[in-house]
Amino acid sequence: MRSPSGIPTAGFHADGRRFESSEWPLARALRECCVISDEEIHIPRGDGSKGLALVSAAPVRSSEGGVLAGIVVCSDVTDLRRMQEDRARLLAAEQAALATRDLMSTVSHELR
Amino acid sequence: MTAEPPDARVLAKQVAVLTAILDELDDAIVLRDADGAVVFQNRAARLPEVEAPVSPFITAKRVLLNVSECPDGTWAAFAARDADLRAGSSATDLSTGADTASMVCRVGAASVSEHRLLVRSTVSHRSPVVSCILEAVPHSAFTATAQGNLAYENRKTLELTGAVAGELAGLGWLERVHPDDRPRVSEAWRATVATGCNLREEFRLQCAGGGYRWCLGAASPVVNDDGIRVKFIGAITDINDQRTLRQQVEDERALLLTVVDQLPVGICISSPAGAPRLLNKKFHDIWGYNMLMEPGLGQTITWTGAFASPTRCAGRRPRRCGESRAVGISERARKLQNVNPRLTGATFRCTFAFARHDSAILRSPKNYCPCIHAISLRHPHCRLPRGRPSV
Repeated sequence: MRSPSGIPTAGFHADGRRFESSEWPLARALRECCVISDEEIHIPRGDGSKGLALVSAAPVRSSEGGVLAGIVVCSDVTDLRRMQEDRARLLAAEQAALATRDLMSTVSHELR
Repeated sequence: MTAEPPDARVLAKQVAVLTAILDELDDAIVLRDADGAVVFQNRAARLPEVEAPVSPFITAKRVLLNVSECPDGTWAAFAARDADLRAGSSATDLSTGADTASMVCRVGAASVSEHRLLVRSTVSHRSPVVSCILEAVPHSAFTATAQGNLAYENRKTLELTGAVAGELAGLGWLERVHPDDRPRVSEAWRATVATGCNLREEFRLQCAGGGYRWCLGAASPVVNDDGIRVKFIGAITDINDQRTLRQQVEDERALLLTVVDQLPVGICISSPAGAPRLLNKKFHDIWGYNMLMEPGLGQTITWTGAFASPTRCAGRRPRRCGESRAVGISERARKLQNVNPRLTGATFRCTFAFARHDSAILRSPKNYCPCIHAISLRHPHCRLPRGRPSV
């Protein structure tokens, strides 16, 4: 995660655009003093694989309102997203199979 | 110590000793009688090119210098107000008003050969300017001779330790240091005296109540115009509360990190500027090496760290390239053995590298050397290779 301190890393939007330093959730949360929730970031891992992370960021404020720190919470949803895609694909296949079965049933009935 | 009326022979001997001592002083000493007439000048005051100042040491209306013979045959010199001598009380150091009986006793206990040096040292360390400054500072302060013997401690030091004047003299203060810390502190002080480097050591000191409190001892050498160390000036600061607080913070941080590490999500706590301060394990697992680097090959990196090379890959060396400098060895390097000083601080053409957290591992594309560790990763352009790194 590229922070304002310049630690280099890489992350990509869903459309393939690279995250600029000012676009990272932590940078935005600290700059705008707002909470960024569940932002999807595609990340290339060190082993060459790709992952998907849900990233939330928020500033930690003092009682006087000043920013004490920033906090980032992220979770790896690569497997979850893959399962969701698999489930969607299976559902689609099931729907297709059901539709095919219905079609076959109708055709068979009409032929009889 | 009260001086008995000496006979003429003893008096002459005392005056000779005292004159010799005063002549060794760098400060100009001028004694005046009640009418302001000069009755004595030491060698420094007699120098023609130097305007002899009247030392604040002898600004009393009437001053007597007394030389006493100690039980072991050595001589002690001190200054005393006439009124104090008449009253039969112990001598009074005019510069601070403190009782100098302990000083006289210490001098008396010294050998004859050390007598003049010790007297001179004592007078010098208790010069009015130094004494006034050290008494004014809100810390415990002390001076020590160039040989490392404590020669003067201010009132705060005595209040902190509960010691009586002179008890801490020489190396007596070491007795007040906690037995567990004493070897370390003694060694540090010995090194400071030997090399003239600054001392900065934390240790437990027995205080007035008898308990031990953490203190920070710091001392620096005082060097004269010829570059010779003439004394040490130092201070002792009670940091017991700070240290306790720091320990509590470290404990709470460790506890927080332990708890945060168990969370199933990645957590990164940053500074207000966005610099990461705390990353849990899950965060590293999610972001992996990608956290600290970008992909790329063939980039030259400049390390501000050290390189460690264990024996089993001693025959393989990355190529040197350009210049660099080392700023230190990280904790990871300290854990490794056989740190190769020849590799420390060199600049390497990083053809295949990846890094994690605070350390990096270098490898070349053809000659993978799994044990060349580049430590203290603070470079801005470390490049991640394509392919799977084999750690």
